[in-house]
Amino acid sequence: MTKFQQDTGYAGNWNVSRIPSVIARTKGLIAIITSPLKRLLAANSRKLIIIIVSTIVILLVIPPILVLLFSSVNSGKGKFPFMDMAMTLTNYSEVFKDPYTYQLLLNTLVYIVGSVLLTLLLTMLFAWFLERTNMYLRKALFIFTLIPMAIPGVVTGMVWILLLNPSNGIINTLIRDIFSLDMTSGPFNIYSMGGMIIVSAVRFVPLMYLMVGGVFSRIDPSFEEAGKTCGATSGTLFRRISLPLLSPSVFSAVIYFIVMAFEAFETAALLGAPKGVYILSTAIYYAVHPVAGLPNYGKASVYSMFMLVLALIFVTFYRRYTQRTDRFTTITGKGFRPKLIDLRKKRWIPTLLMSLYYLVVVMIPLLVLLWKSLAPPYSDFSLETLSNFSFANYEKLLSYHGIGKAVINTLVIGAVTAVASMLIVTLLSWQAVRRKDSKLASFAEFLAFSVTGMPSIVTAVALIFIYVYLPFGIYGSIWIIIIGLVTRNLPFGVGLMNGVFLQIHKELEEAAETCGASPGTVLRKIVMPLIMPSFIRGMFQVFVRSISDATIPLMLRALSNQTIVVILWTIWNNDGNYALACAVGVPLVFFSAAIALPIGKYTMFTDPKDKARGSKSKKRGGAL
Amino acid sequence: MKRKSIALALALCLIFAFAGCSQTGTPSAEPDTPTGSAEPAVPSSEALTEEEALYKAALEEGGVVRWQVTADVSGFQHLIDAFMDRYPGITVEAFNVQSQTFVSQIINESAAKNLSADVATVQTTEFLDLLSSGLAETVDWKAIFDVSDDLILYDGAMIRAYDNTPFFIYNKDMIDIADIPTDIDGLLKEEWAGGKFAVSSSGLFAAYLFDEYQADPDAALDKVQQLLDQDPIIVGSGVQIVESVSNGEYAIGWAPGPSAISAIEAGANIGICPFGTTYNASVGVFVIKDCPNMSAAKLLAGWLGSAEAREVWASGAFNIADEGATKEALESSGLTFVCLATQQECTELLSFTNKVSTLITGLG
Repeated sequence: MTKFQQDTGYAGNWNVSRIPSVIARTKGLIAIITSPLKRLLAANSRKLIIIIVSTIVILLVIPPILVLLFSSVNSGKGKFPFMDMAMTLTNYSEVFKDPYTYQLLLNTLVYIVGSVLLTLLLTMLFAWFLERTNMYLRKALFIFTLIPMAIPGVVTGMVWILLLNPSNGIINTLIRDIFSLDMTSGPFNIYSMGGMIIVSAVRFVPLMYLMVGGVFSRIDPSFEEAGKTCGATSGTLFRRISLPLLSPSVFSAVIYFIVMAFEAFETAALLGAPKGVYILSTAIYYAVHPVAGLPNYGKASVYSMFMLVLALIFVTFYRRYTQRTDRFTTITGKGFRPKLIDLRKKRWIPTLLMSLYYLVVVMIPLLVLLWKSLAPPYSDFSLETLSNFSFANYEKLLSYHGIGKAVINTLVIGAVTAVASMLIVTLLSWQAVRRKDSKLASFAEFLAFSVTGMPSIVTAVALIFIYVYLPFGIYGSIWIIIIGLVTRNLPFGVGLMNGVFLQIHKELEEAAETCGASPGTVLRKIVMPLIMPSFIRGMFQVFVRSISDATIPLMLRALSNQTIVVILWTIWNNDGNYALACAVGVPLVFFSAAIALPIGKYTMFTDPKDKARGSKSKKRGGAL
Repeated sequence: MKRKSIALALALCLIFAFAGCSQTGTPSAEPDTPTGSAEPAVPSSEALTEEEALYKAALEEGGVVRWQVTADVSGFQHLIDAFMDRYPGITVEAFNVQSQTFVSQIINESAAKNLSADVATVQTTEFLDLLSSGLAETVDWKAIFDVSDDLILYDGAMIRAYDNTPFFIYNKDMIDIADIPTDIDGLLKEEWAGGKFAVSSSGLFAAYLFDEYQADPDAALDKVQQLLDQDPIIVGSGVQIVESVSNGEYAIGWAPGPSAISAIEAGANIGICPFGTTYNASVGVFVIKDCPNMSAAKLLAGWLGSAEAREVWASGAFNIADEGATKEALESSGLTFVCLATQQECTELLSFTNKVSTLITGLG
């Protein structure tokens, strides 16, 4: 008896030479069973892709909205939705009767209008300088334009508190000293609506610039030349020719940023709450995490419904408007090279203005962040402190409880969100663009885009309500954060990939299909190689957005799913250790910048022909 | 292309594998804190005391207990070390979440049956919300750990751990002690208007007016409103005020005593304002109902209330008002501290501070 027979008890006539024939027979059997299934899949694989990807998108978007709607008429203070099925309009009546609600809405309106207008003003000015004039140091200043984009919102808020808090904010102290002002606080106060607006605008400018900057460079110079021939000055040219030509893109960007301002949370929480200035997003946060008493899920749901409805109105408006931009076809990518306006001896003016701006909004904040991270705790900004610089805060950070896990969580959340989001939106866009007859794909694409109107804080509230009831321990794990972030990144990804698929003619895919290639083969061998650069760029962008996001991780945090931004928030707010918080902020900013800046640069300084094609993508929300 | 596909698939597998590793929904997650070097001395099963039986059960459970604390974990490290020395093989995973934030977190996690803590530390006032939601385990602490009666609160649902002993602190560089108001009414003067002092949005600073509230609630709330009309800076947590006063952002601010004492010990240039009598509820530890590491949780919470642990508490900044550093700080500043320990007092204080918080934030 062989050892095999001894071990297994198999008493048959064992012959090694029979193995290949057994394998071959097994394969044959499997083939007989699976071949009809394979044929069925091959024949319907496109449909299957549409069904699977659309179902994922529908499951990500529809349940949260329905749950919020139900929660607004079902939950209450300390009471989750679905604890019973009784429905009431009490939450709505309480919110509408509360005079503070109207103050909240007014604050939100002022904040949105202020931050979007300031963002627009700065962006237009900088875009005109950088894209239309021959100012000095154009490329260097362009990079500076993008830097604030790489700084997470929490870090931006922290640094501006250090700079402009009324008592010992560095800028305030300097101004008081320089002008010998007889005052113990001010002249500026970052804890105010004005502070919120300015800091938000600083954060929004790079993003808006990426949306409209390219359009500036594509203005057909013949219009301006005609104006110039008629004796118009540079200012008149901008006002009477450039501005009307830019208005469709600018207007769509404005609508988009109104929605962005709606969901701004970190800036409002750090700068507004200390002076009792709340907007809808912070009110929702404090309804779920109250400073006193039980969470009021009913109120949070009603506020969320407000946000959802208002944001969706703007998103619908945005979508309709961007679909009609082809009416304004004076901006094209054909047959001209952008001509820069010669500022002659005044070339240094925009350079100086922009340098001063970046000194204040980029260089000084980053230096303050670095300074504070190297200084001892409870120290001020003096030369004496400089002599006590050390890496003690960084050393303390290394032993901070949960920091290692938070780093891993952050990277995993960023990576999984990036891969999952881009896979979903790529398949969705592919089918939505190619199969215009598929109502399911079009509906899923519309839903994915509509998520723009579903602010992060609203998404997070809905996820709490859904996942406290679902098994598998998703609530409290990193997966609930990933689900939230994937949902929030759908519109960005769909906008990006729709534009990409519009640029690839379907002839290539049709040729492959004619040769008998299955949709899977077409995807692998034709589509993916062509879209890979955009796919990877999109992945990196989603990665940076995910690791910087504070709203969703904060709302859904538990011990096992803390991210670096949550740790940063805890150190700043709970531990009150500003120096340690800055030691977290420095590597976070450098890491984000190392990824975000090359992508931003690549996005802007690509082949002009690619830029020109970008106008097509706008039709399907490509600007997102 | 094939190689690229394989590489992409591998990358996906790696990411999911990492994700699987990083998610620790189970209580036996690998701790960040190193375990004690000694081998666990598992008691034999014969004639075990209740404490020994708990210890044995805790080891069998997985030897981990997760403890939520309300300030930087380093302030509790001496207690964690002493506990792990006392019970080798049991690892304490401590983490810091603000008390009130944690109340809503426990409620959510309990509904999801995925608790991230076994033992929690909250103010006795905030605990009332959790008690009414049935989220605290009641234990006979006296029988198991001989915990002193005055430390057992709410019929065994909570053990008094330390007092927050709140007081106003001032920055010694910015203001002379002679210029500091001697009571809270002094802050109503014009010179203190316009963002000169800071209070926390929890409304706990108003506990200074608790005796007035008990006598005439409307008058007390009116005084709070006058105080708010002075336009103070409203900060999310008292701990943050310690940093802000220390670095000169505000001259005066309301702060939880233990954090202020820790800062003074660390070299912060701050002093305690002589503001008469300060009231507050205690901070207590409790075992969360249906927590995954129940035996280890009871062992930790009970030990924290034991006579042995009281000595360890007294050696740090977090202790009850008549012990160690807190006692010294109160005596040196001439402050009187009244701790509200009964359920009725706590309920009244909670009602008062909730009203104050609503006045501050407008978010009722």
